[in-house]
Amino acid sequence: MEISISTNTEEVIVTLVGSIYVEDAAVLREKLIAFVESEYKQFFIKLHGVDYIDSSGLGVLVAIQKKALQKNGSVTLVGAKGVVKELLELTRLNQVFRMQS
Amino acid sequence: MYSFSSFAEFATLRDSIKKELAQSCEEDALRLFIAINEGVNNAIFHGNKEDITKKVYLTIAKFPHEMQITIRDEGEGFLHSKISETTELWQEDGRGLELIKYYVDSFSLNEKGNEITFVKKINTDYCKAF
Repeated sequence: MEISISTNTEEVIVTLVGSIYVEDAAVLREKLIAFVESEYKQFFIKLHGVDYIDSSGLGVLVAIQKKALQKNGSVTLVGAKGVVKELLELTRLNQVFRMQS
Repeated sequence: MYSFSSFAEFATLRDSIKKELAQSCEEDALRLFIAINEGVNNAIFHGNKEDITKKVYLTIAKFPHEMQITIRDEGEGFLHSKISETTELWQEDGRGLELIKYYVDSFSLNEKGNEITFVKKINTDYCKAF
């Protein structure tokens, strides 16, 4: 997995590329928790370039969404496609996040 | 048979496993790989509790019209407790078995609960039979 992160006032824009396995989920959790525990509360996670995310990665996204909501923020998933979109639908997590194409 | 004792070791095998599954059909191989990956995550994390002195064994058996996957860990057995769990929408873990059940045609557990076997039928309309 490749990860790049940019920020502006209260927003964090995260671009992910590749496959997200358990070891990548750990990295993602560490990086995003640091932002959500500081002043940031709106997260836009771009998934256009992601071809797979496993259940540990999905769990990290849920964890960030829960923390963001506590601060009146939210996580928006952008550009999920293929099997990633299928996994979000199957697990009904498309109801947990704001979804953007 | 593949054997490994950590996520790092399994990471080095993922491409070979995907290639082996794709010998029949790339489309179904991806879904079957998802089931395998979730099964292995469970085996390393819940089964062996990330104890690197313990191994996980993954067997891929190919039959003319199906593939049978067995994942066994060296832990005390956890699968029976997990299989009956329902996943709440906001839960952060516990979706692995839910995904396995979705992506395979049938599955079974051994009595101890440290081995899962699942079967994916090969759809010969668009995949090659072995």
